[in-house]
Amino acid sequence: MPSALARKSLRDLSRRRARTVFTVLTIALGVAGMSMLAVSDLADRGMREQIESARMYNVNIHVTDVDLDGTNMRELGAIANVKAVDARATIWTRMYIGERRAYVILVGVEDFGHQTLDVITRESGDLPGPMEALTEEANARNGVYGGREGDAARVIARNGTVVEIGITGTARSLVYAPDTYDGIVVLYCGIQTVRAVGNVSGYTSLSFQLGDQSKAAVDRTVEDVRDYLTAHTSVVAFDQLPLLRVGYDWPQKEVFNNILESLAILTVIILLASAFLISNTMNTIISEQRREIGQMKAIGATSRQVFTSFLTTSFVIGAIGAAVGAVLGVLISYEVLVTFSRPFGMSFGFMVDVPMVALSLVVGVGIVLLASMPALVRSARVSVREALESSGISASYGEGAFDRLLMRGKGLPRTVQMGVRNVARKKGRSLATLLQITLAVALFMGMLSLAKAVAVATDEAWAPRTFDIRVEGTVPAELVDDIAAMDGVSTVDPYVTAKALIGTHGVEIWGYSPDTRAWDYRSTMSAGRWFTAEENRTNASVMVVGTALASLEGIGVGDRVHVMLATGDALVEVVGLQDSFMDMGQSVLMPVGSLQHLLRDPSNSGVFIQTTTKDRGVIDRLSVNLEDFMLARGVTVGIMIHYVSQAQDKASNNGTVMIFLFVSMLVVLICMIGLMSTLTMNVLDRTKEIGMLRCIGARARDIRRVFSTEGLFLALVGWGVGLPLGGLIGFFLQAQVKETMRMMLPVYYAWAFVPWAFLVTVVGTLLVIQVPMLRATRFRPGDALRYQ
Amino acid sequence: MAARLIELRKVDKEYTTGKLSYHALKEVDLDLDEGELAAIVGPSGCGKSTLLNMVTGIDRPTSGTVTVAGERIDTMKEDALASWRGRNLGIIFQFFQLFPTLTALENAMLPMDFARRGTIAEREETAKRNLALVGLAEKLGNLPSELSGGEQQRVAIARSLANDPKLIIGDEPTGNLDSKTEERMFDIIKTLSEQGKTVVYVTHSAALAQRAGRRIRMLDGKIVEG
Repeated sequence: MPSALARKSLRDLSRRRARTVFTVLTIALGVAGMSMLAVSDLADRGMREQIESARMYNVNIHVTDVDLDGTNMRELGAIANVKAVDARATIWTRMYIGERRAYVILVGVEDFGHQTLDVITRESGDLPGPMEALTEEANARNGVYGGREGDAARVIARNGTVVEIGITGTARSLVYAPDTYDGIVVLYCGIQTVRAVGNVSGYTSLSFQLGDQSKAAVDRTVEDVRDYLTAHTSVVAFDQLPLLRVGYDWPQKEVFNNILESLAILTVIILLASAFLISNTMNTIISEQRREIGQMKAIGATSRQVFTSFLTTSFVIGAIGAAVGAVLGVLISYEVLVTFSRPFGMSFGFMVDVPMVALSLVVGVGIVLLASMPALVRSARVSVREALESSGISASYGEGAFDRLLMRGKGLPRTVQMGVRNVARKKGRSLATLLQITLAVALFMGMLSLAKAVAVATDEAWAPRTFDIRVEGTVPAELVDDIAAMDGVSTVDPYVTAKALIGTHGVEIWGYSPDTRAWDYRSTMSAGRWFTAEENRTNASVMVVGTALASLEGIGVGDRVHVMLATGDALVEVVGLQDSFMDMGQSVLMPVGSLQHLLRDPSNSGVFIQTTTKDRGVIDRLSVNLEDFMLARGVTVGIMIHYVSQAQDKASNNGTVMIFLFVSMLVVLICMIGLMSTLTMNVLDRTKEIGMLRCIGARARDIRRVFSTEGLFLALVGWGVGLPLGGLIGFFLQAQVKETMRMMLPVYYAWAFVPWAFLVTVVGTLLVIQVPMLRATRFRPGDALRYQ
Repeated sequence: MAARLIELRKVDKEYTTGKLSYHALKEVDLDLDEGELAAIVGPSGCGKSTLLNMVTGIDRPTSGTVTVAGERIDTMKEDALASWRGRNLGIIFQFFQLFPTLTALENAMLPMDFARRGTIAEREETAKRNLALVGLAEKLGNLPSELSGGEQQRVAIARSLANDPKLIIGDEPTGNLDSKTEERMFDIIKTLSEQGKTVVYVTHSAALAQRAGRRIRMLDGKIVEG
């Protein structure tokens, strides 16, 4: 049987049910926010199992069609440090989805029943026979291709003919599914099907599992493999830089974790906002019960017993809030995991991060106790006389300069004057409320500033790209002039592109003609110069790099920098810097001839086309004509339309911002609950006053005006303080995104949204104070005057 | 003959809290005429304050009718009742019930603000006059926290006069004051009565009850005398 004191502590919770519910809800949201920290571990745990069962590669090498026999495979497998090797024929081509065309990767597997590495798991249907395929599950999930068992995919073969590949079921693979995130269809076929469609006779992709996965060991093994292939097969060079994966890493892990790390700071803000509200609530509970504290002490309670009584109340609130929050957190963390991992082709069963749940409970209860501590200490210090004389309403109004300041504005209606002056009656509570509103406004402005910065960066990244269509895929030199002669074409500009490593940074190198019309280099150069026609003609090793990359790698104009290409290492001189958002500020541009020389390949990677008009209908039609023109000449190419890709890029960047927005909204929600709670407390504190106002003739609207003035006053001050703070939060978030997403961002403050923030603050405040105001105006004077 | 100002007929009031119910007034009939100075007396819990709350419309009867200044206030809606109260009644409470953020002058003006009576300048003028009447002309700008208990009660009286009501109600108006201040307060109340106001007050003080023109004695929710 609990003591009477313990029972009082518990029953105190039911005396103001609404307040208890608000407080528990706030703690729960704060604790639930912590679950974000669990997502990364959950993903790691889930991926660890999947990586083991999929036997994922450590090194994946792409080569141009190479014939490998059993001896070659054995010898490759016998290279030092190689534990296992597998070869596949994988081709990129185009397919029809309805009337439009999309990229497709056909992955050719020798024997689905005996896959050594990068296991593709059949999920439904039958294994594919000749001219049949399994469709990657993520195709449908990412809205790339919705074909099902029994359908036929219309794929454009390398010879330009359209072939039908029957879909026999679904499958999934950790290696290939992430491509669907970029809008590429993935189909798994028997190797003969891929060879027939792709016009290849051997293999194009080699996967290796290694023993020692240190960088030095991996580099050495890659070089051994390169040496073996160039010495014993038709391979001259790798097609792309080898893909590397260490331990239990997985593709996109860094991006995934970076996003989650950025959310951690918001989790802290959520907890702080909760702590404000809890501290506020405990202060209110104790000031309401000053008289009872006096009564307890008068009948023999020690300060310690009073302290323990309220400590029990806070502990129970904290425990319930933390428990609800932990359950909510488990659900949120799983939902976030599933939502954000889905585009990367991962699928997880329900998982719970038990240590994080335990930590949430401890932190939840701990933060409540800490936030309550000042109020608890004060409660224990209250003397009997002081407590018994307390009327529950501050009678010391008017003692400070701030109180006197608020007494100005004599011309205002009396109810408005009362509302404004009421702000100073419970200064601590008003300050806590003000901080919450400030935080909400600041986050709102910070998020909008981030969103605007991302939008500006996206626009700026695309602005200097002055082409309308990009043809992706080698265009034979003789066809370039034919394209230039097509209706609607203004200019044609061949380009070359290749992946490379500069220092530790993976970059995309672009080879442009010196007088290119596809890139407005004049508007972007910030130092040095653009390369010359002479440098292009003589294959000079020169390049222009983005300022973000220059700053990351400490590169300046005149420096000679090591550039690691698929063909090996090259020393290239930096002749200029460009301040553009292209490739997130990490662009690398070279003369097209120089890059072709370094790649030992005179062909282009595609052409940029400027059209004679910006009419989207004309551009769309020309894009189809171009692809048909190339297909008719046996050349499969991809088509990128500038305005379409720009829109997709914007949508993708907005997705990142949405994640931040989601978490920030949690904080705003907590702040709004805080405001509602404070005003509810004010109404309860002043119930007798409401009764008095009624007694001397105040109508419901007069009472509403008193309380709404108080709420709006706090909201407007919060808005005013929140605006500059929002700038700081915005800059912080922009720095976070810049760092974690490796994205170049302008420093931006959302000035245009200042009036919007005003509107949202005022409307939000007016909405949340409706509940307490309704309560205030429903009191009958008799009930109000009797209220204790 | 003076006109009838207050008329209570078969007024019953029962309070219910959880499983308990309490019969505070039992079929009370009461008539009071304009200009009367009446004291309601009786032991604690006999229903004195409840009876006042019926007259002011602060509480509603469980059954019966309450007519004040010719209007059935027991059927009025809450907002209409508040406005009616502001125009027709002045109430003085034991614990003053001043608004701590308003000065003495502002407290005394407040009922006129609610009733939209005259211009702001006229309201201020009236409030100053009423405060002067209770001897507080020098303390117009003081907040309640800067006034003594007696001074606060005098502000409450000045406030009750704001809209020049016919009826002044006092719920133990001197119950929280020392005897000297109590005497001064009653002198003011007496003066108001002599000026033609109807004054009804609840008191525990035998001396104060003696000085009323009419004593209404209550016991167990019923009027047993007066």
